Amino acid sequence: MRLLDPNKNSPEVAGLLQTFDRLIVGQNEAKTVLANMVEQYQSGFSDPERPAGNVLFLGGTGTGKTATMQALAEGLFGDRRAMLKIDCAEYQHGHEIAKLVGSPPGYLGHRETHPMLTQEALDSFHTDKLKLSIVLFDEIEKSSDTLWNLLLGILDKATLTLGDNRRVDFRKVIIAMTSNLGSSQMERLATGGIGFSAPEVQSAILDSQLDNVAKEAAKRKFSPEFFNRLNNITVFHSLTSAQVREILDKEIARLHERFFFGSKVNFYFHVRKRAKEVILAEGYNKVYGARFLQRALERNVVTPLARLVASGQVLNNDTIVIDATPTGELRFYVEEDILG
Amino acid sequence: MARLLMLSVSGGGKPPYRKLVSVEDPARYLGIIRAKMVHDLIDYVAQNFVPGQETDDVQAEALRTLKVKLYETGLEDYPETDAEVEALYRRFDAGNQKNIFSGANLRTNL
Repeated sequence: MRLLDPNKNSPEVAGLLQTFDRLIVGQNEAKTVLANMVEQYQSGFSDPERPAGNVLFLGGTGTGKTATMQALAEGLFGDRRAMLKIDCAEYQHGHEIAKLVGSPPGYLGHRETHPMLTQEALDSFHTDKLKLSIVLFDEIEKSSDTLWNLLLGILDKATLTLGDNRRVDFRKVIIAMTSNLGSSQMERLATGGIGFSAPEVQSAILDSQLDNVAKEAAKRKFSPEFFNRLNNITVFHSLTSAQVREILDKEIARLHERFFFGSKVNFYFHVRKRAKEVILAEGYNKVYGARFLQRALERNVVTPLARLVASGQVLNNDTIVIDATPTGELRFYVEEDILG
Repeated sequence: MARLLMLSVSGGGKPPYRKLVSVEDPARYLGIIRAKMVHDLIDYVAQNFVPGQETDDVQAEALRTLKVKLYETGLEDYPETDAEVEALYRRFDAGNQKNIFSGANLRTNL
């Protein structure tokens, strides 16, 4: 007999996990849940009467819920935008559901309102190798409960009937929902209230408490029918300062790639630790997480570098060093011809 | 976490050079920079192709000899002073060849 290894991933999922590790810091539970869904679907083990998978991501803003789904799209299709993203804040009123399914016959604009959730839209992400789509309902708690009722049918039977009676098949779809429910209580629990600082390494007990707080908040908000149809509920924990620094390093690495192929001038750049602290001070805070990190990088690094390139101060193969003064101002230096 | 590495580029029908680079994922960085170098080399060959002067063999040899490597410096952050930077370059200056790593050369390399 030959021993088998049930922990060994398929090459596709191994690649997906690598993409997750490259793009997402921490949040291992969410990565595993999504990888398992893809692996089950590839093996044909998904429930044939339901979507390929569904998951509710809970947690504070800026913890990586949406970014994880973008990483899934990048890992599966090589494009982080290869998914149908529905911003649920746009569906705060019941009638707005018509934007998703189209107006029913007899209503004004029946023919003019093109539904968003069509079979063609879902299938547009399929590739020769992978017939799978991703639909993300972002910030689902902000939508009207009409949308949750619509999701009941999709989660249960994997079908949706549009306004013109066409049916949409969701069996080849991973449905993800994100929500900030319970995030303020989680924040209070993690920090111990105003005046107390959070420990860098959260204990397993605290993690479990945070999970309970988030899940209880979701239970209170959603109907039992909706909640019971969710296969996976994953809680995203607040990022530690080490994780935030890691995210910044990953974002800077992405900038390197962007400049390698996008810039008219080939140049290298370094961001010194002092400069990184200045960017972090602007781009990260406990309430919004790492949400504004990219914006801070654009303002403090991309825009000045673009100006330096456009003004001819940066030439081909120059090395730019970005440093910070003690007062927190960023300074840009060019490496001299040291051995010249 | 990002760390400071020494990038070494040689072959490709150009003078060799080295560069200090901040790298978060060395394997990916190497892949990307190799792709970029090959892309630039193909562009260079296409732009400088003179019928009868540059043979296919010369171009093939330039592509074949292109070597892009990364070396550990043991540092995370870019050095504080020019003297430290210079010491770092000299440490990797295996053949002690002057000008190889100078900015003047670098600007004409790609």
